[in-house]
Amino acid sequence: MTEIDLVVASCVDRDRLSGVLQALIAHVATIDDALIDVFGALDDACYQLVEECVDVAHESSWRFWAGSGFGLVTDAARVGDRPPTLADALGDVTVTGTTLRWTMGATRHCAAPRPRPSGATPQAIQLHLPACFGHAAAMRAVVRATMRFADDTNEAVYLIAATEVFTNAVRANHRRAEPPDVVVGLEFDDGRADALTIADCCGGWVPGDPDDLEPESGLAIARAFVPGLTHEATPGGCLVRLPLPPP
Amino acid sequence: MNPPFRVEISSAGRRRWIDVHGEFDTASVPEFERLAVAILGAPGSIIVDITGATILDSSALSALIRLRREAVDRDADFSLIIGPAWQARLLEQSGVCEYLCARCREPADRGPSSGAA
Repeated sequence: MTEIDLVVASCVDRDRLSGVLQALIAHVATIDDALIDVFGALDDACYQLVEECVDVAHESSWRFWAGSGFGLVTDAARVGDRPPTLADALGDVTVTGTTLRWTMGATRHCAAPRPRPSGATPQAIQLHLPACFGHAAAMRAVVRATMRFADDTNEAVYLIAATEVFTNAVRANHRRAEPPDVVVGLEFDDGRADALTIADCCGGWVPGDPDDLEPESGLAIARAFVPGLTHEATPGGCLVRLPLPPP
Repeated sequence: MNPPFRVEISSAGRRRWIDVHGEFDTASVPEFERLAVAILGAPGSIIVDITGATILDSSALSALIRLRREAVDRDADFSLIIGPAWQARLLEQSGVCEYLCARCREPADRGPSSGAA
């Protein structure tokens, strides 16, 4: 089963979360056996939205969701706040080939969003995508749904750069026998400093590696298309940050 | 939702057309190559039309370069029809614009995308 984890790292407005959820639902609908898990402390509006999306997914499952499902995982702290109807609706519902999961008390590590000079906390979301080239489409769909570009050309070149970085992260994680997820982060700051981050767990790009021309070419494209791109390599992995160009 | 990746193959006389639609990236390269290899082998010209592609990455460019090489090895002409401005920008950035004989669609072009195969 393909599992995509959506981690809400800090309070995200309803419209953005809606865009992310719809993009992910459309993506997993193309996969035979997939599950989206949502982690994080959601405010009431976002919580209700997730609930509605789960309902939509559940209703759709009979006709459109061949073997796909939708899960909701929340903070233990939220358990006492929720009406039992939600758990009733989601708890251990199993349809042929489709599982809707409701798990309480699960946690997922998520890096804190970077502080802004203004002191404001940016909105942030993380996607934990299996290390598979096909999931670059999910990343692109989420970016299209949540980030605003000056025009189609700006959007396309940004997405090309992100695709190059994501593809390289997949390759990097496949150095392990059991490839870990590629972690895609979206940070929103009202258009002032929005950014996408892509992290692998295995060292990622090695700029200048003469034996591997395709990643080198991809890196050159990504750097040319996103001038502020930064690349931080640590023993634990590689984090590439792609700031959104100002609109 | 972004249109799914799709390849259409057609021919008109000695011209063979490959129309690419949707997201042409690492994940879709195997499908492209599987279909494209089927039209190699006969002399004439191969025209790849990527005006319908919504994304193109370095893996896709590598696949186009390989196809062009195979075509030339078989005495076939190769050309690439591009559309949106970002496609020209990507090819120029990668330095393969001339190698792939990239050009915009011309009135004389006939293919599935222009409605007359």
